[in-house]
Amino acid sequence: MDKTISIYWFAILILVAVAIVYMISAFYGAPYDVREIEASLISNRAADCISQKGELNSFLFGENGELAGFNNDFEERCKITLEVENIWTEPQYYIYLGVFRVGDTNRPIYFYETGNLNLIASCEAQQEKEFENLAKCAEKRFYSIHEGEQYLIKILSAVRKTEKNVK
Amino acid sequence: MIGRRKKGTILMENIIFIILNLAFISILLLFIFKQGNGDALLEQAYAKKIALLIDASKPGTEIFLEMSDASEISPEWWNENFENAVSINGNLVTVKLRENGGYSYSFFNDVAPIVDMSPEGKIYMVIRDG
Repeated sequence: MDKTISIYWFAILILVAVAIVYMISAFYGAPYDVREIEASLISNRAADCISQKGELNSFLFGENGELAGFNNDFEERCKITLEVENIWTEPQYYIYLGVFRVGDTNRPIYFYETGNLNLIASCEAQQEKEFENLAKCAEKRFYSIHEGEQYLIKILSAVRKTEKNVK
Repeated sequence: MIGRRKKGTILMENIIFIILNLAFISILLLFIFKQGNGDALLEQAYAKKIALLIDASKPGTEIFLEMSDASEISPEWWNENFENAVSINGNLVTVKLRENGGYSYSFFNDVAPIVDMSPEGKIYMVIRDG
């Protein structure tokens, strides 16, 4: 009788052990997901780049004062590099910058986007429900002025890097 | 006489049973503790932490980071290789705390950080213009 109880007892112990080992492995085996912070940092970096002390940076404007934007030199101007680890062949970042007149916040008077355009869909999907395997996004909106005129700036950034942040 | 011998057997069985249970619980706790302080986990955590610190920094920033627990993973390896425990190649941070380990994570900030690691596991970083 005692031996039977012992066998069952150890069978239960083994079951408990397997369950605990599985749970611990699942918990600690999952990588830290830092993509949201990273996306937020990119947005902040882009915001600091185009607007300083509440005023749009002068390099965005042409000689005649018109909003010329970036001349394919966003990465150089903003000191951002979109290169990632060799395990990915496609860009893992997406950055969108939109400049709007305060009276019309639907149509940008200027926009610039770079990186992996496929990640826009991830940002749209993440608005309704959170999907771990999709890219994480960060949106930033603020007002800035230039020569007395006020502008609304919208910045959207997305970071994929799923393989390094999700199990 | 027979009754006395039987009681002795029961006591012995119980002691073995308790010892086995204690051994089981100890092994389980050791496993949980080892997993929690996992080498790979620590490498990943530090690589990502350093990459995010660099991303949030402007040129001229000085960063001090305490990573003394990193030196406890493999003390022998650490004593010989602590200077290379954290390396930056281009925009890739690599943290390596053991012989067959290493974890890399990229940062987007186009800067050139300089890293100096002390034997006690204190890291000093200066962010320079890229």
